[in-house]
Amino acid sequence: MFSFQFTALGTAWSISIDQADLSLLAQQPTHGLRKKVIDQTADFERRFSRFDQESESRQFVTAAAGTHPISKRLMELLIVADSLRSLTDGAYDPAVGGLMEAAGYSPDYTLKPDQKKLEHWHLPFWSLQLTKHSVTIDGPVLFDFGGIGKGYWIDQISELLFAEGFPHHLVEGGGDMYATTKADGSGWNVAIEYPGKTDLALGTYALKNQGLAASDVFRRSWGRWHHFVDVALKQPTQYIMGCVAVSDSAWRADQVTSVLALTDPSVFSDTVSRIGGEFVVILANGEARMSSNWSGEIFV
Amino acid sequence: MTRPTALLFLFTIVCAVSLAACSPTTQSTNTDPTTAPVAAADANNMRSPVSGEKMLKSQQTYSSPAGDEKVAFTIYVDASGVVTEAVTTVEAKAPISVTRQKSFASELPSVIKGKKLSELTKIDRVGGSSLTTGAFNKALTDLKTQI
Repeated sequence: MFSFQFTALGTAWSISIDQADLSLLAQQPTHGLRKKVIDQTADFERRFSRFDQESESRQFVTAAAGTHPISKRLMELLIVADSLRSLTDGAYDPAVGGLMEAAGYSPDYTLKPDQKKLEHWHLPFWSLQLTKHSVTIDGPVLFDFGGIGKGYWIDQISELLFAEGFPHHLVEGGGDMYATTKADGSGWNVAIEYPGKTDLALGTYALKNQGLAASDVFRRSWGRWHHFVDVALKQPTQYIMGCVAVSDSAWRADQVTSVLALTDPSVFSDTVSRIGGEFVVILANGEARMSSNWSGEIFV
Repeated sequence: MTRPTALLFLFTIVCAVSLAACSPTTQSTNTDPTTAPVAAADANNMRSPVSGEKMLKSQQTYSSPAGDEKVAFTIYVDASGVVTEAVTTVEAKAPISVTRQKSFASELPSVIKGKKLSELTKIDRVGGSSLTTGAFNKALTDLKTQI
């Protein structure tokens, strides 16, 4: 087992590589691999973090209404964000960035809601022009992809590891991850943290070519705010305490958790089935709901 | 929402939501509270009530696009009136109804007790919300690197 860690996108990342032949692993130029992963992640952060003043997420903060060209990667993120926006009837919208900053979750981390800004904020409208590789906006907009940006990047690192000759690996970014199988064909055993209880596991899952994402209302919370925000209501949601999802990629698993956080529990199954994945949700009242296809272990 | 309220709520939404597009036009209820042990209709998911506990059974008929279907519910209530367990017995005939009833059954509210992370063995990684797990996982992978 070969592992290394680094910090990026505001959280801790860990890469683990399993190799049947450890001597072969020793011959590989792993320092080069580490540098590649860290450099490319730093580049992704510069391009898409809402907290980086030069990022593409902020490129329309002072833009005028109109149609503006965007990069291929921003287009990829916005296409998925657009489908989640439809799935949640508008509760999920990456244009939430401005609202998060008005609520105090800004690059200077004031964490103090600005009531005036909150009252004046309205949800910017945006639509994609696929053939023109452009986005049409009705005025300034600040994008925040939340968890799906991280899931997207976890999968990109996995692809990089494959390309570099390491087919058995686990990529983790701040508790979300993608894992292939281990060299012997077995899965990577992951304990799933119970929302809000850092020393407790709600269950385990043996990941095999699957992504896992988890989210809760306890981390990244300030005052009455946390990071599950319904843009239509301009306030944090109250449905759930936390959730975990498993899907065929980390990106898809993150999409499932993003949707679960913003959806009424009565439509969990229908909504998630349109993305594809398994889930366990701890509702705000402490009750658990799990999808009928959940194949991990749960400690009841 | 209290647990009994949650159950009542579930009973009312079962046809409307989980069994999708089926209207409960021919609903028949025969709830029969009893403290006596009742023979389980399905040995796999029903049990006899323990001392002081009541077992309530209810069978519902509803109209689905595939015809009339039945579903049964059993709830266990302790001496203080708190619902301790709920079991759905799949009685549907049409495959699509069976699938939907099974899906509903697995999504009944339950409480996950959890286990101490320190008691778990053979764990490669901890998945969870960001920040502290990063540090936890770093410690974990550091240890593994030393193996």
